[in-house]
Amino acid sequence: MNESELPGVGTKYWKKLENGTTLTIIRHDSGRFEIAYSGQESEIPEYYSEVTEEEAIEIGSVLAQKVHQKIVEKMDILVKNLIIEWFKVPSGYESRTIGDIQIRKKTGVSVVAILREKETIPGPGPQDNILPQDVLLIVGKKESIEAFKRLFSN
Amino acid sequence: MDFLYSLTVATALLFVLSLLSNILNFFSIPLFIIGGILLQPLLSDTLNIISIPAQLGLLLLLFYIGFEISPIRYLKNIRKVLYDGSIDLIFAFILPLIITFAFVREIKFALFLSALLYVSSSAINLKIIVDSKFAIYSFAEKAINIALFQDLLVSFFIIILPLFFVEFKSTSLFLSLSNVFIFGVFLNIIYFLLKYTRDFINRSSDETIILLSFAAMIFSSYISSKLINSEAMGAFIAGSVIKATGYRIDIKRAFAPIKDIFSPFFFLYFGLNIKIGFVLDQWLIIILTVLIAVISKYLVSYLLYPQKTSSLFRNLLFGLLTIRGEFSIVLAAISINYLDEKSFALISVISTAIIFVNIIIGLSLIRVFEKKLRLKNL
Repeated sequence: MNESELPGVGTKYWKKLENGTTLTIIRHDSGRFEIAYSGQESEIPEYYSEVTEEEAIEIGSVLAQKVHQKIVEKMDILVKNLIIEWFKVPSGYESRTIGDIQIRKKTGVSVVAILREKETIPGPGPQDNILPQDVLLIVGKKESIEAFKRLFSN
Repeated sequence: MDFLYSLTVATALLFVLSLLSNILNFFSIPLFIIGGILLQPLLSDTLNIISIPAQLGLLLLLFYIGFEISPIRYLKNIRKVLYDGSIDLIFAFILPLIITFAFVREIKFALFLSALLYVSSSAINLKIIVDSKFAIYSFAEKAINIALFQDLLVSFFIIILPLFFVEFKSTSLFLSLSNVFIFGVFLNIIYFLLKYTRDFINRSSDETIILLSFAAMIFSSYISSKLINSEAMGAFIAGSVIKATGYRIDIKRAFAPIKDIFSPFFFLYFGLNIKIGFVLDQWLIIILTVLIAVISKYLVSYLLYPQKTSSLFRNLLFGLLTIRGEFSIVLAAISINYLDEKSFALISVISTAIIFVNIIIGLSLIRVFEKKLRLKNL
């Protein structure tokens, strides 16, 4: 699928289908979607519709069912020895960076994301701070997760 | 003149003009300016008082522009942005610059005039693209690419032009260069202070974060006005710095109501200061400039859609590009620091004529041609 950013509007996705027609989808920053289908000759769509976010999720999940099945099969193998967990940082915790705490070195756990009120930090680095009340998405073996929780309870 | 009485008259007038823009389904900026021009005799006593909210309005507009401009926005479509933007730059900026300079032989005037001729209104364009459901079409993408490229150029005009033309208050070149250097150091200090106190500030209330951002805007404008005679640059850079700091609340959304209150004062004040009497004898230049503003954008649309079959998209792109807005007025207002009284009077009349005429032409084109697209929408 081709993709181009429309700053201030959203993102445009389009694909030339095997039959020569073009499918265009606009994902607006506001959450709504526009779907257009145009013929071989003209850019003006033969079919056009606005779609709400919920409808788009429903349509997308039907179209992606086969793909999901494959991903889930792969995930099963990967996840066997790992635990993915949400962890809320205690309110009395003193703010420090991931690097200072040496989370991975001390516990073997990886912090995958930090959720902070209206902000999300995906893939945080050693320079990123962990603040009280942050919600962390962590990945590790069972014993590592336990060590991680002990580290924060201390 | 009584402070509250002056504010009452001005706000009542702005309210009526805003209401009128809703009734006429027309953009409010030209109406605020025209209102200012027409009511000059009645409001001449209130000028000093209106100038305070007007100056805040200009600073907030520049702060917003600085906040909006982000280099990351260009990276994904860099080739398309460069291609579409370069065509627009050559035919809607460089060509008018050469023509203007050939006639007036005054580089400051020619640069400011070409800049305000060139910059379309990205805010109005985006609103039209979303409201008229144009986002699926390639002409809308081209209009957005051009707007992105113009954003970069606006940064150039706001940051580089004042440095280029600065008439330093000190007489020594060494002291003048020192001022620029000190301003650069000041900006770095502000940036690092804001960055390293971010986590602490983020734990404070929304009110504290908003007040800190506002104070940074005002302080930065003050320092840049003192050091390099351009408060515009300080407000603009403060917007970029606050955005890069990454506070937990959406500063752009928090500032929107403040900007919506003060920016109309700026446009009204701009209209109140236009001296039409100064430039009545230059009506031919004004008409020619408005024509250049229209023709240059048609040329750009034609070069981006040369085929006969795509005339519909060409006309719609032309409609979008033709519309000028707040950027042109902001640039005209900034030019007051660098031009003599008569040149500024001419620039302010031309900018008002351009946005008024071009909004009418642009909107009419869009309303006529968008019907052909709507027929096909199901």
